[in-house]
Amino acid sequence: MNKFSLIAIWIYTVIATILEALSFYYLRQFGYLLANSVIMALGLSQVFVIAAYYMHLKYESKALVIVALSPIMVVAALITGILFSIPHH
Amino acid sequence: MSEESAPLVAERPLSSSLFYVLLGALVITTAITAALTLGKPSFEIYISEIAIIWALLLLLYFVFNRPFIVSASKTQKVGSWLKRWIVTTNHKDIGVLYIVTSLFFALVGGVLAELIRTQLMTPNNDVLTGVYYNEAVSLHGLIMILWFLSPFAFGFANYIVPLQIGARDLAFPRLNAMSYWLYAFSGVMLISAFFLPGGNINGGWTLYSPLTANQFMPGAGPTVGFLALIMLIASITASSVNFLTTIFSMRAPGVTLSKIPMFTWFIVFTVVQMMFAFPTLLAAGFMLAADRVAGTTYFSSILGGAPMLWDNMFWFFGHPEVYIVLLPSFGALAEIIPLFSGKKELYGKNAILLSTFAVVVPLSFLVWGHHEFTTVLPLTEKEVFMVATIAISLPFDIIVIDFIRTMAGGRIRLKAPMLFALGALFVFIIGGIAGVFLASVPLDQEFRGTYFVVAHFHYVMVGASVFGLFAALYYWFPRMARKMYNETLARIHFITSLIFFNVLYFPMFLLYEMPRRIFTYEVPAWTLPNTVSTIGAYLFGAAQFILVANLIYSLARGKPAPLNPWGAETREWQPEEEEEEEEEEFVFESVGTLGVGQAPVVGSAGPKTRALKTKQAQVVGGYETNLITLHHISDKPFIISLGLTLTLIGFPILSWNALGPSLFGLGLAVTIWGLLGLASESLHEKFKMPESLKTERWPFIGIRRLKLGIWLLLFTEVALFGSVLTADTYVRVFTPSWPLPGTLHSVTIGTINTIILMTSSFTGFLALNSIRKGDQRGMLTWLAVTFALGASFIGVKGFEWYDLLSRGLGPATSNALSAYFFTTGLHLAHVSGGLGSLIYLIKKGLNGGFTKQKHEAVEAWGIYWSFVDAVWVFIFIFFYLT
Repeated sequence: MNKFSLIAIWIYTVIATILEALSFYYLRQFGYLLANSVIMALGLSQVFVIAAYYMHLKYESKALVIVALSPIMVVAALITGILFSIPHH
Repeated sequence: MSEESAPLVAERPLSSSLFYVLLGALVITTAITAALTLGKPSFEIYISEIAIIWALLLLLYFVFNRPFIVSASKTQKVGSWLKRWIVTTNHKDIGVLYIVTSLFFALVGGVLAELIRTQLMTPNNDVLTGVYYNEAVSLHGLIMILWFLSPFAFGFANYIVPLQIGARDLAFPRLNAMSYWLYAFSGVMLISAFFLPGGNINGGWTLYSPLTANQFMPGAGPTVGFLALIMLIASITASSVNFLTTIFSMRAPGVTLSKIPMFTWFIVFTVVQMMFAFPTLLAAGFMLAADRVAGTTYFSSILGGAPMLWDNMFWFFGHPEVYIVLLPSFGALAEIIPLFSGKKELYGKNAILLSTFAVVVPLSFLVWGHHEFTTVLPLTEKEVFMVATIAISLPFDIIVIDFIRTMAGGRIRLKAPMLFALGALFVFIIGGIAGVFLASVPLDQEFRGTYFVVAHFHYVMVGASVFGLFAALYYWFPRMARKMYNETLARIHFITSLIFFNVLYFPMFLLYEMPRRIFTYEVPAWTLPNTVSTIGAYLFGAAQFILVANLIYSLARGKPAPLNPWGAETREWQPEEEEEEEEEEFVFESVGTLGVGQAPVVGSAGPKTRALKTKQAQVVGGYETNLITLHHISDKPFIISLGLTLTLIGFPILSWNALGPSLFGLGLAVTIWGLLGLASESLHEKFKMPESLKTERWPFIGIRRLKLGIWLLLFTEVALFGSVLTADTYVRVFTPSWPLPGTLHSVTIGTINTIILMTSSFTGFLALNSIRKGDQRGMLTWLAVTFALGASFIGVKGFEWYDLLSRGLGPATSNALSAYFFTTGLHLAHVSGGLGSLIYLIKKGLNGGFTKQKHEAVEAWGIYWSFVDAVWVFIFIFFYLT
């Protein structure tokens, strides 16, 4: 990866963080759902960029990508089951 | 030292080790029995029984196994014997250690079982008080499931898997030794809790909340027990990563996926399931320990926490755990059944593999709710779990039918391994069918919490798992000991075990109306089944001493085993393995005079050693990894594990008396000493495990061992943080008044800290880029900047914590703060760990340890560090912004 791409990725992660904070301050007046959705989307994009570039997943074999992503399925099963089990929810 | 008086410690290491470990187990069990029954009328009876068992063992020892110290001074011999086992990192030795240690814990758990059964033998019995009975039940379950069954299987996996796939050892031998010592010491910790204030855990092996809260289970003892559980999970996680890395990056040429033997496949399934399941228990264990020590409120109903959260997290781990203990046993059966049926192949091999895969992912993670059918779980969810639970029996039907079909029409050899395999199948079918009853919501309403459930899971876990692993023990004993076991004794062991197992557990099916969590009863109709069951327990326990006697006798006096006594075709039985084994002996026989990295001293070695040295000279060049064995020892895993144990026992009893601070301080010093030694060992490359690229690595072609290992570790970390954040979400939804974002934490400070951490990932990547270009100075500069940024992050976080605490807002203040302190604390621990290893990297870099070609550690560290950053993004959003 060349230096320009590296700097661009870093700038993106920083800007995304700032946008998350700005969304918190300025988007809430339009509703929590909108603000939280934007914040979550920005956060996920940050995680995606970190995993793809800083953790090199973009350049790794599919098998390793599957290793990296598979625990997310388990967590998804846990979170789905566990949240529905909350009494009177 | 002359050759005549050369050390003979390796002559009978197994029998001697086994004997002394059993002796140790008896000391411990005597102490526990005394602690639980002291002052009771039956106290003398138990002590007498144990004295008889002691006498029998001593008799066995002196009759069959004369003292192994036959020359030189006793001190030298004992020291050398101890050192051999303490410094070993060899997979075979670790395997033996696991097997012997797990048998030790089986004995401890077995004595507790006998106490339980004695208490229940007659109505209104008073052998144990209610609290002591609860301790015995809780520890029996925990020890048998977590400290006996899985480690027993890990013993075989350690010994056999590398041989089956043609690997010289596990991928990370020191980590393997660390796993073992963490496991062994965690057991010591768990048992030590009996003698600490508050006694041991007494809320059942399921540790249901709020029974485990300080209010209901006060004292330091249970806390030490929970910390022991956490230490055990750390050991299991390290082992799982190690096995998967080994199997997927160190298979000998030709051992493609389709040629991996069945036992190894089942170990793959087991450790994958462990990596999915144990992080959730680890997260829950951390939370429970934090609740007790730091005052967080996750599970405490009194403080507003959510006790049902524990149930969910525990059973998300707990049900897959059933398969975790079952699968290695099935792996052994898959080797034994075709071989002893005269069949070349297992019938339906691929169907069995696919069925097992379906059990591992996803079915076993979709059934935990059936343990909560009698709770307030919504009906729709109960129905989903019911269907999933019934569905999970189908893959097992396929496996069992394929096993039976393999035997059909075969020339069956009824040797001990096959007998135990058949026994395992027989009792598993009974246990499995009983399990389907419990999958049904209406039937479960009747059976849940009764002895029907106890019978069911003992048929599955004792019958299928233990019988299967006994089959494995008899099957591989000739390979491990190079001696044959006594077939007659083995058959008597099988017949008595099978009969008395059923005498013990079948009456429990008839006790389907008796609640399982009572320590005494008055109903006359329950007396007969309980009495029969207790008699069965005594006899089943006694039958296991036939196994012990057989092992000790066979190790001492058994006939030499042929190289391949069963005519097996798997790699561990092939003669070419001999050469490697002798090389390993070379190291361990010399170990008494060797330090790490030292060359062997010829004068101190016995004849065998000299012969091997000649042999080694002949094979130099033949093995590119030949020199591994010279450096293949380390005492650091032992030292670090010992230090951690002392620290974790000392911490909860800091305020008890002088023992607490002493243990804590000593433990901390020993841990730091061990860690520094480990770093020094690595810096000077005293411990080498060269990587051969001539191995089968599909589907991870081109991925080196360390990188695969770090990714597999992150796999468990994703599951760990995922579980923590899931728990946080649960608590958040459960809590009626969660504070609005921005009211507790400063968004500005959080944003700045996030940017600091994001930037540190960037600089970490720049360090990797520099060394890829051969720029060592650049790498060091960027690593130093990364360290400064990481330290700044910790500093800012420390300021935030200080600010909250100084305003009187601690972990016990509210659910929101409890979750905040716990989650950010866990993350901080990861950041601190990352910085600690960064210091090591910088030091190694200053020594010129990284080059353009050799910089794997920098890359692996960068991946870990970026992961820590990614986790923080979720934490930042959860606690600061939403």
